Formats: sequence, C-alpha cells, structure tokens
Amino acid sequence: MRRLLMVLSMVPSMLVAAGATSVVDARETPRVATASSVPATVADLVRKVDIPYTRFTLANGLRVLVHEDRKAPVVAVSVWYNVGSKDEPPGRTGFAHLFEHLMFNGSENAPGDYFEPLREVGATDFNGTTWFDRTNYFQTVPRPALERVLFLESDRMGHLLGAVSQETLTNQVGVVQNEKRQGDNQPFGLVEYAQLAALFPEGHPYRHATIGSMADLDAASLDDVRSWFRAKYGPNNAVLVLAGDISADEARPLVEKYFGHIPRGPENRPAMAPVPTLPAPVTEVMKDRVANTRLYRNWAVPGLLDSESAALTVAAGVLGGLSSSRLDNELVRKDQTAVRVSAENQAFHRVGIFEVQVDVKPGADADAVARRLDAIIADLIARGPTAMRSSGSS
Amino acid sequence: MTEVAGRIRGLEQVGGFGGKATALAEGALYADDPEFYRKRLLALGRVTPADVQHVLRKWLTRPVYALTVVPGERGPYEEAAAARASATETATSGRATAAKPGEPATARATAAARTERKPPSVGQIADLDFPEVERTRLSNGIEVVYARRQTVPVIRLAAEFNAGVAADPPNAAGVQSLMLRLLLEGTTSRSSVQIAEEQERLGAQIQPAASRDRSALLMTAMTPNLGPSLDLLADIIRNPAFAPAEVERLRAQQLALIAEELTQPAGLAQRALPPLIYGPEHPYGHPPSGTGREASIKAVRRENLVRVHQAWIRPDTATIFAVGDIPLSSLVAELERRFGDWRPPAAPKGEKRFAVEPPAARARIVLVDRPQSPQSYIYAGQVLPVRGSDDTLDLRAANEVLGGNFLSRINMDLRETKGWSYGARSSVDLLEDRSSLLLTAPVQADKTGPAVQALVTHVRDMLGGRGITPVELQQVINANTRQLAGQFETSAAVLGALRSNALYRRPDDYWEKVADRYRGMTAQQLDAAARAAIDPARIVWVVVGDASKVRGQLEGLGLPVETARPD
Repeated sequence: MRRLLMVLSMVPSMLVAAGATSVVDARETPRVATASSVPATVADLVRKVDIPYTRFTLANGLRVLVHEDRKAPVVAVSVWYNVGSKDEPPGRTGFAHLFEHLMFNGSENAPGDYFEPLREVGATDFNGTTWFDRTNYFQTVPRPALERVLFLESDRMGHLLGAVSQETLTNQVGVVQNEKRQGDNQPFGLVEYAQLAALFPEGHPYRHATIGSMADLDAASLDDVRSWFRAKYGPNNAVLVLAGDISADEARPLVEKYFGHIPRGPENRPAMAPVPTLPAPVTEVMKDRVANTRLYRNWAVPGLLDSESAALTVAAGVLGGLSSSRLDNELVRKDQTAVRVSAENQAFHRVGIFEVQVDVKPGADADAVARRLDAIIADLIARGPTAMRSSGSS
Repeated sequence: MTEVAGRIRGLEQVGGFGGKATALAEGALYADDPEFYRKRLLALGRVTPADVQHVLRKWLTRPVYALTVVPGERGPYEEAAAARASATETATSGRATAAKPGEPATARATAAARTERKPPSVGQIADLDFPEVERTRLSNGIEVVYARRQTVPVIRLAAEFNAGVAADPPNAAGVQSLMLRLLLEGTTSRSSVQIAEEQERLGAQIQPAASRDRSALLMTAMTPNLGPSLDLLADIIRNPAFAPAEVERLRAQQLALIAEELTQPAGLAQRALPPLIYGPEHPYGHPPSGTGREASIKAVRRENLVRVHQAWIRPDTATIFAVGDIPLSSLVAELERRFGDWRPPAAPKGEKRFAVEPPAARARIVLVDRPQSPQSYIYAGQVLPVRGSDDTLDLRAANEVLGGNFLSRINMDLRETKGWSYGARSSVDLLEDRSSLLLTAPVQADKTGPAVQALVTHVRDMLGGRGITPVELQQVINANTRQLAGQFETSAAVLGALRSNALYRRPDDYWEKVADRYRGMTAQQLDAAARAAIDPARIVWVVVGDASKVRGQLEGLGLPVETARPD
C-alpha cells in the first residue's frame, strides 16, 4: 500500500468512523421499500450522483469551480496544484511534500503558523496532502470566514517566499524525516520502496515514493524552495474549488479580488510516464519484524485516464476487493490458509498499480498458499468472472 | 466497488479528504473535466465480465513482481545525516545541519510580490443549530433516539448495547469483539457469504463496533432499501449461528490481529499501558482495540460466545440511535416490525466490574524493547478522578492547550520547534467510568530521553507556574464556538453526537449550549480543572523503542525505568 502524505498526522475521526453513504438527488421523496418491493441497486444510486458546478477561469489562468450546497453554513475551500512527487528532479525526492509543509509556516502577509488563523475562524477538515501527481490544500470554514481564508490561500499562492527562512526549512526537514520514520517504523513499512523500485525502471517518475529519501531531504535548500514555487505554484497550475454555502455569482468577485493580481507562472507540464512492463518476472523476499508472512503480486497498469482503468478496478474487486470476492472465498473462507486478502487497482495520473496481498495464516505453508494464489489468479484470467451484478462485484 | 463506495461516501461532505470539492478538483486537474468522477462511476457500472477478462488477460499475464515478506530481522536503515551524526556523538545539541535563523528566501521578483495585503475581517459566525432530537420506544421498551436530516436519502443507524470492550472479564479479554464480529458470519438462516452479498445488493453496510463502553452494529442503508436492510440487521443481531467453522476462522483472524498489534509501535504501547494504569482486573485494563489477549482467544469456546451474546446483546441493554431523512414514525414502524417482539433471554444480563479500583500508579518509565525502531513511541497515561458523566468541559479545554490540537504547547514544541516528531499530542480519553489523560509522541530514536523530559516539563509547567495565557484561552474559545457548524456537517457526525450525549449523559441541546459555556470560560477555571485532575506523580510513561539505543537516554531523567513485554 502506498502512502498518501499529509501535513497533519491527525485524520478527522469522523472520516474513520463514517460508513457508506450516498448523495443522490435529495429532492426525491423518501420511500421505504417493503420486503416485497425490488431494492434499489448501487448502480441505480450511482446514476443519480450529481455535483452541479459552475466553472470560470481568471485572466491569470486560475481555474475555479463552485458547487452550491446550502445544507450547512460552511464553505469548503480547496486548492489543488498540478504537481506531485512524480515531478521531482533527480536528487530531490520528497521535495514536493516538503514544500507542502512549508506552505503551512506562514506567508508574507500572514506570518506565523497557517493553523492559527484557521483555528481562530473555526475551520474544520483542514489538511494538506501530497501524492505522486498533486499537492492539495483544504479547509472547511464558516461562511463569514470565507474571505479570510481566500486571503490566506491567495497569500501563500502569490506571496510565500519572503516568509520562508532557513530555520523553517531545517525544522520542516526534521518533521518530514520523522514522518518518514513513523511510516517506515511500521511492520511492512519498507515494502513500498521495494515495490516502486521493482516495478518502474531507473529514471521513471513513479519509481520513488512521495516521502523521498533521507539523503535527498537532507539536501533540500532554499534555492530548491524558490525554484519550485516559481515553476509549479503559479495560478495557471492550480484549481480552486469552493463548495458549500455560496453561489458562483457570490464567489466570482471574491476570487477575483484575492487571486486576480497573482501573476501567471510558467506553463507547467506534469511529467509524462509510460506504463512499463517487466522483461521477466521478479521474485523477491524481504525480511521484516512482522507477525505473519505476506505475499504481494504487483503489476504496473494504465492510469486513471485510460479506457481500461475502470475494468481493472472492477477486476480487483472481483479478485479481492470485497468480502465475497474470489480470494476471500477461496483462501480465507474455504482453505482457511490466509487471514486477510486484498486486491486493489491504484489508478494514478499516468500509471496504475495493480496489487494483490495475502496475509498467510501463521502455521500455514506460505509456498503452498503462494501457489494457490497464483492458480486462483490464473483461473480468473482464463475463465473470467462467472457473473457480475451491475454494481461491479463478482 | 471500493472506489464507488468511497466516492459515494464522500459526497455528503463539501470538503475534507474525499468530499465533493475533491471529486470536482481531481477531474479538473487530471482530465481537464470536473465531471470526470461521474464518468468514472458510470464507466465502473458499465464494466462487463468480458471487459474484466480482457483487461486481466492483457495486463496480468505480463511478468509479475512477486514479493514475499517473511518474519525476520530488517536490513540496515538509511538514516538522515543529523541522526547519523548524533549516534556517534556523545552530546546531543541540536541538529547537525545547523539552522541559520532568520535568513529569508528572497521574494519572487514580481510586481505583486511585495504588495502590502491586509487580512479581511471575519463576519459574525452564528451559533450551531443542532437538529431536533426525537425519542420514542418500541413496544418492548427499546429506546429510539432520532435526528432528521433531509439532505441525503440515507438512514444511518446504530443498534447499540451497553457492553463494549469493558464487558469482558479479565480472563476473557477480546471475547466481546470476537462475538460481535461473528454476528456477521452467519445466522440461523443466512451464511456468511450471503450476508456479505446481501449488503452489496442493498447498498447497505453493516459493521460491528466495540468501543470501551458500548457494543454496536452500525448500519448505513439507502432509504428506499431500509426495510430489507433492517431485515438483515435484525437477523444478524437476533439469530447468530456461531457456526463452529466460522468460530475457528475468526478465532484465527483475531489471533493474527493480536500478533500484528504486537509488532506495531502503537499496538504494543496500547497493549502495555492500560493494565499499568487501570490494573489488569479493571474493565479498562484491556487493550482498547478490543482484540483481547492470545490466551483468552485461544481458550474461548462456542458455548462461551453464545452466553456472552445472551448476556449483552439483548433488548434490555439496547438503544437504537438513527439519523435519516424520513419521519420518526416511519422509521419506528419499520423497527417495530423487526425488533418489537424481541424479549430478553432468561440468562442474566451482563454487568461490568467498575467497582474494581485502579491501583495508585506511581510515575515511572516502562520500556518496551522493539529492536531496529528508527523512532520511539512514547505513550503515557494517568487515570483521572473524573467520569464521562462529570462536567469535563474545562478539563478538556485545558488539555487542548497542553496537547489537544496542532497549536498546542506539546506539538508546537516537539514538532514545530524541535522537529523531533511528526506530531505529538495529549488527550482526555473520555469514558463512561474512570477516564484518563493520554500523551502520545512518536519521536526520532536519538531524542527519546529529551522528548520524555520535554513532555514532563510541559505537564508540570501547565500545572505550576505557566498556566493558560489569555491568547491560549481566546484560541480555545474561538475554535470551539466557531467550528460547530463544520463539526456537525454530516449525518455521521450527528449520529456520533446522539451516541456520545447518551454515554456522557448530556442533554439533547448540549452542542447548542456549549458555545455559551466556552465564551464564559476563564483561564483560572481551566488551570484549576487541570490541577485538580492531572498529577505528574501518577503518570506512567510507556516507551516502545530500540532499548539498545534509548535505555541510556531514559536513565537519568529522574524516573525509575522498568521493562515490560506486552502480551
């Protein structure tokens, strides 16, 4: 499992506790099915999912999306920059994420910690995250605090560098190195590095993990900060989304007021990356202080925009993404040689990673389980799913 | 399906990690199409078995990367320059890459760069309008607590039982959780697979959950499918089969979970601390994960599980909490049909053993050796003289200043000043009975001793000469009065509040009245609450780390150092 990195370690508990829900057309009259009526399928519900929005672009290239939802007096403000760890130059792995941290240590007209003004206005659901393809910043604020947050986001988009010092950089290198240690310190915490290095050839943009290497983080300089900001953080390389208690008509003059003066940056071309195929199967064994043997099967596959990506996602669900999937039924329920299985298609901008995992039950013969795993996959490839419900399960 | 569920799940929220803003932004960024999320969901829905077979043939018949991770010693760890240096130094005086304070990065050479900008003022932020709470009872006495939210055609429901991890006696740790998980693995008329498939067919999600104080079956159902979803839920709750094969399968899974926790820094710490501060006999002496201990999970038999179900999962321990878009009367009619005729079994109702007194803990360090750890996990705790039903608002406010949010003293020092941690915090673990103060700090191994020392100092300072400042008080007031609308944006959050209000015996308008209480707070009140509850002489410091690197750092802090091996 690859790690999405964020500036805060605290994930809102709400998210962790949340079960499945759905937004469908809320104007529909509630109707409760009795035992005799036909239940609505997930596919029926998906068909009704809709997030109406208005789109406009400022003269400096900032793309703005506004979604009006008046159910609560709050607005989500979200800024996405089209840059991630795949866009890092050689010797600077981990920099996109390190830079994200620096965006929270104050800008020229809003010095000090970014979370101070956020806390002052009662913001919720705030964080910043970095992954292979993008860096995003988000917060939800009470409607009367919207302008304050537009000011803050625009200040760090347009006026950051004068507020970044070597002291801040050194401190945040330390924080990020501890974020890396915290992840690495988990059982299986070093697997991601091995997977990426095996699946992607030398020089491939997806070969290194978003967190980067200790040595590259050590090497990060203020010059790197300056050039990254100038090259990647122009308004024309960002998408601003306002969602909640606001209309497009209300939003447009506010966005113009706070973001309109920021000069356009150079044209950004996110790194291109082919989907590599291994010349021959690669088999590796890694030792770690873990409780059980875990088997991984990985392939590099096409990314999010490819027409075959959706089918790969469904395929992962059929194989191991549901509690009634193939691997669950065969290895966990029937053979009882595994205690946990999963299959997932992680679809990124340019590539995807298809990953199968099996936690071998302690005491079971791991080699035998591995042979069974490969046979189950081969059988699914050879014969296809037996039947699929419209929701995309097996 | 995971992707569909995740996307749909996020759509009740405007922001956050997976809300509506994320759906629009992702598509705009990668596909230059904000509606990409929708096209993707539709594409997922259109995939046929032939499509699946085609892509599997095309992509998974290529050479595989097959990795096997086996238990054993790790290879060498690539450390940062500063940590490498301090490992060879005797003195630990700051990072090797010395900071040059105050050196600014030159501003972007643009016309806009030095424009003076003033932050705009913030308008009046209205107080929270919490949904009206309605209550009724089923004919057998089960209380139903309900809040209506019309934004989405979804019913969220918690069938909650006064049980939880604390229900397990000392020799049966983890049995409650095992019993709860088995409820979804077969009823007298449905198999484990049928239960899983029926949920998928209905778009319903049913999950067992055990907090320390309550056991629950949590259900999210699409309103049009409420009836059949409740049929399934009622069957799961009332008619579990506890089939021997399923018992063995889940026993093995739970033993694997325990073994896994014993390899994780946080897992080890959370298994070590509770018995040290509550005592092994106290209901809160169990690991909070609920997985229990290996011995009791190995020993439990099917008859025990049946008895535990009868003792705890029954109408006279039950409350049903729900948030949904239909009138309460409609919901109750549906509930009555599935639960109204449920009668308590003849077996006696379970009782928790809160009469057991926690021991008088003494401050000490308990080192848990975890070789090859690049960080140490500091996890400290003290049982407080407060219960969840007490008025804890001042104490919790004081904790926010100490370590309860990003800007707190502990985090700003260990993370934002020293750079030793990705995040350090303190929390009041508010429970139905005796609650506790917890301090959590994963820190780089070479700073373990200094980090414990810093934490001790922060606690002592707060209780001693450095009480809460006017600025800190104002931060607490501003945040807690203004964040309420965002805090209760989703029906999941409202459901959580209904449940916690009941657990802590708070009135239904608690969250509407709380802003006024914050506005009336004084620093003296908060200091007094902290001083009355927190006692550094009783804080036990569990440190999970590489003993060969950290033992020397811990000795000489003025606290006795013991060792432990959690089970």
